[in-house]
Amino acid sequence: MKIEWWTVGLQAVNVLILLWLLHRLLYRPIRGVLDQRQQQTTLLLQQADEARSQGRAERTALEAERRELAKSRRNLESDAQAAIVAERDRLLAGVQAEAEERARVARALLEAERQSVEAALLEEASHLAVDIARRLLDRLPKPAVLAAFLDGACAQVNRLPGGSVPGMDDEVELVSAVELDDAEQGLCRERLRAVFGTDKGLRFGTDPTLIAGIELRLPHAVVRSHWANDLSLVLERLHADARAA
Amino acid sequence: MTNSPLESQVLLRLGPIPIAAQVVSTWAIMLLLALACWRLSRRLSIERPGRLQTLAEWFLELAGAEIGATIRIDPKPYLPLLTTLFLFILSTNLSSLVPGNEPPTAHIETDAALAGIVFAATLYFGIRERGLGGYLRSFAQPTWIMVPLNVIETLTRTFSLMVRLFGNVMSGVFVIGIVASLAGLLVPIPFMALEVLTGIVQAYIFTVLATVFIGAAVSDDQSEGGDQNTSPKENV
Repeated sequence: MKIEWWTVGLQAVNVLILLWLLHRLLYRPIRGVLDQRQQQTTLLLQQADEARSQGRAERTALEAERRELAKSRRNLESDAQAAIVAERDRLLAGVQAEAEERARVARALLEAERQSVEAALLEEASHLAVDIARRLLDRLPKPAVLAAFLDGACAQVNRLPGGSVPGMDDEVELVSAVELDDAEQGLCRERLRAVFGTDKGLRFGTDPTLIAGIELRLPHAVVRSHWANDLSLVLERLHADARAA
Repeated sequence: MTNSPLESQVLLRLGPIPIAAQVVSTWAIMLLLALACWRLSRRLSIERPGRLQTLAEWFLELAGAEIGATIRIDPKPYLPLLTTLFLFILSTNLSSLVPGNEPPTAHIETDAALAGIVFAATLYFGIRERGLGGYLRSFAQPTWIMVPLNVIETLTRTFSLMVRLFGNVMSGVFVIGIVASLAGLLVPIPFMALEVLTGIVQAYIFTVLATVFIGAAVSDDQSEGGDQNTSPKENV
């Protein structure tokens, strides 16, 4: 077997030329396509990663915003609750104050009305008592009635301490519900002379509010022997009983 | 075919240079491969690759993965040479199917050229990766006593690379020629099919061994390269 070295060299050159041709026509273009596709894939993956990262960031931001909103909502709710409570307390205080004011006014009105009614009743009772007394007095003999009131007045004068009894020069006013005639004045002078020892300073006057009877106005004391005083005592007793009840 | 495959048929002479038939066949194969790649490169698409482009991409990806798995480093610098060797040997081996054509690899000159290119590539990549001193020191691994043996191994494995391809392809052509001369036209067909399989396998083996040699030259791990050199693949 003989080796043709020219052929060996030619074949080596041929293979090297083929290597050059394939490198230019096959490897480089295919490698370029593969690299570009790899770059596109890498770019897509990067974009996907960026989109994923952006999505995560947006989700994180949204969650933070949601937490912030929830926190704000809780704060608003607590503030609103506090405001509601304060407003409620304020309204309650106002209503309570207004109610108390209205109650106070109502009580005052009631009290005034009660006093008015009481005064009216008292007035009516007074008129009724006066009317009853007059009706009773009309049925009784006037001298006897006057004598009875005089007896009561004299008895009270007798129970006065010694310093309160007038002297000879002191003025004593005898006030009656109706004006006394001469006979009745004479009766009064006679009875009072027996008590005071003199009637020198005795004067007569009238006061319809006494209803019936007389009132001796001494320098240092007043002796009441009339129905107005009696009725007043009766009313005080009744009021005392009502308060006790 | 009745001529001895051991003889190169010179078709013409360009001065002192004889142009053998295998050289003309090689030119034809180169032309076909270049035209096919040229047409392929004109229709490349990133979004919608065609079938041929898909096949080419798959082939290059597969070759890159195989080379990377063998040499354990980035296969890009070695991919053009090794895939060119595979495509060239595969094409020349399969050119035996063309009636009246002898595959160039059935001649020792072509195989010697291929083995010489692998030897030169081994030296080039080894020195480029490790430097001249580092590459020469690799012959003294694991000890300087091994220097003669490593030098002899480097030469003999290149020689074995050449002889292996030449023997397998030439024997197939030789057997087909004998059978065709004895039994007519149809009987050699099974042998031709077997020759196709042999051609594919030999192209793969030559490329894998070239990858192993280059990987051993560029790898710092001498023991790993030594193991690869004595791997079962080399003994096929």
